[in-house]
Amino acid sequence: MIIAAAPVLSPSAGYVMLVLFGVLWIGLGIWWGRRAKSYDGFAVAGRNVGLALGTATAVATWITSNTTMLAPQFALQWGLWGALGYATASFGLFAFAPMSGRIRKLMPTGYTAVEFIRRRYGMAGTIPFLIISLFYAIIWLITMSMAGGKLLFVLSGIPYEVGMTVVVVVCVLYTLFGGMYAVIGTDFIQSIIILVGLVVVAVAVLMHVDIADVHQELSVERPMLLSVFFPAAIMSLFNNMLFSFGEIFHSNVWWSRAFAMREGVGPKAYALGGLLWLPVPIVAGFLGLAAPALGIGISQPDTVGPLVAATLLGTGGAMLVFVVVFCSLASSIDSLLAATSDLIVNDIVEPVLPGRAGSQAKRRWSAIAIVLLGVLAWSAALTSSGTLAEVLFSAGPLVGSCIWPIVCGLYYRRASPLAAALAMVFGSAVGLTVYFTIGWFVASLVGAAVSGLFFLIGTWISPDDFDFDSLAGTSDELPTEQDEFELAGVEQG
Amino acid sequence: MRICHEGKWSCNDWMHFPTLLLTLLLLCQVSPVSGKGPSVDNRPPATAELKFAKTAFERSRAGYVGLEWNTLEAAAEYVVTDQRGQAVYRGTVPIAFVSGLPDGQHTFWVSATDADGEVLAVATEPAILNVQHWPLSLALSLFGVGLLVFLTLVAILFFGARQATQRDRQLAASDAAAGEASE
Repeated sequence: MIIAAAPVLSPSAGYVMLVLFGVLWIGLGIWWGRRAKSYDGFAVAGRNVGLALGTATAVATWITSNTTMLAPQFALQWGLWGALGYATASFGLFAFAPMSGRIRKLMPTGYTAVEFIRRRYGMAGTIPFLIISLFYAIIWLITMSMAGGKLLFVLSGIPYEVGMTVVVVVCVLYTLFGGMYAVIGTDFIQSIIILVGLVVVAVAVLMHVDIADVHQELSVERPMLLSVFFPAAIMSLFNNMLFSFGEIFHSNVWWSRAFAMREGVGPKAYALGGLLWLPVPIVAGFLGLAAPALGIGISQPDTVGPLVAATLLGTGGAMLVFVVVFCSLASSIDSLLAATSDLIVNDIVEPVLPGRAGSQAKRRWSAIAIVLLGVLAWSAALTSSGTLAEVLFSAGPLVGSCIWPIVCGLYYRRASPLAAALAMVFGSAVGLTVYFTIGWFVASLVGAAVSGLFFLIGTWISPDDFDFDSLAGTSDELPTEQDEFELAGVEQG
Repeated sequence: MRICHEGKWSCNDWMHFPTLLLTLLLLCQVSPVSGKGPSVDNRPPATAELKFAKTAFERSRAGYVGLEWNTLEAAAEYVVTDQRGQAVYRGTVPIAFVSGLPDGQHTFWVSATDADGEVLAVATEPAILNVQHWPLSLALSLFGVGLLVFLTLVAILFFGARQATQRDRQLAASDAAAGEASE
């Protein structure tokens, strides 16, 4: 039997839920934003985030639209290997756990990943790293904005352009008001909603589906999805894992959280976050595998997960999926807006402006950067027609080439600026070539491998003898008299 | 309307710019949008004939394909069948995604039915896809490279973290010794 693919919720139900959650997130953003008076509060939540909030923000941020929508797509396209391959992205969180402790220790007053690269490798490493970081952040923002529009269209028939616009505007507004306090606070609530929602969806789907039937149907109709020797899927396994390593290691989304957590909290929070995240893509991936077996007609592969859950579970299921995916989208878009605005303020605006910027000036620039990023993501998502995977994975070889400069730069004094620059430039170039000639499913792997090779050569040609104590920097992040004056002005109204 | 109040927010002149931008964004939200999105609004105008947008595809290396065809005004549902007559898609959207196909030639037909299930039209020409998966030797070689990169990374992280811990301990011990000596 084939089940017709069509929206399950009515557009009016979709609009009501959009308004409800939009108002809730913006309200919470304003509430938490009361504490974000200084730039330190706005950018890194006062550097005092504990284990519960730290774990929740790691889970919520990493459960993106890409987890709830791309993991099922991977299973639909690459079969069992696809679902398992996506789950290996949790290894990135495990690997970043010890690194987050080291980052917090080496840079107790730091704000961004680019700041680390600047102090560690100078301009030679900073320029390619900054370009890669900005490119990735913007691509990620665009894919999630697109996911918001697609989700609302698939589940409720709300036009793509309208749904996408509302998702972006809501996230921009509450991040604008609350900064990192609002991001981490809403992440806590969103992570609970996402995890409970996914458990309910998984149990409900399993009650509707017989796994033996799914297996039988797939082995006859779509044999490659169950094949252990599915060549493209085998190739994509380590590609996905290394892509996730590159994403987490280089992205300021994760570094800003490492700076925001209390000392000693980061390693535990990221490891726990990885454990909680691990089963999510497997559950979501099962929905993708179930689609052909159940005969659910799929038009766009990246909407298969929500569509299967909504089709099987009816209106209640569609509403639950709507809430889960909306939370996963919001929790990642807000994180990206906040972290990328930090990067723009600290690593682009502040260095080019004369004099020392005060706390309130940086807070102001952050707000402007958040709005501009929102406008950019919105306009790009409006005109983009590629699938989520194609758009997102174009950044794969770039972030894959950042793995070695980050890891070795954190732990080994011999890692040098030449090695970092060679690794990022050649890893990205060769990886992108492979992306266009073979496909995205090997590009990150090739980018990471080539980058590692060039990093080794660069270190051998020109080894460094870096003093890690210099990463702590001067006191230029600490509040100056001007900051204190501005702060006092705010408090007095 | 003010969105902030003196004493509660740092409500300076700079707020006017983002407020204006946000207002513009909200206006855009309720205005008709002319951009090209992945919704089905860009479908071609309906004709009486049912036709795949593309009938011959490049060789597929991963065993999946996206099929697209024109819309029919009176159609309530579209059905895509393969060479065995098995339905692989049924839906209201004139796009079908089919995956998990083994090596070989695959032929697809599309038909449109009305609300009563009567067939309105059948595609005049089938869509033909040749699937030839990547050689397994290439896949396994890349798997091996990936495994090597992964294991190297784990080793570097492990030894790096161990060295850093040892250095920290040594520093702490020498600091403690210096403290005792000064006392």
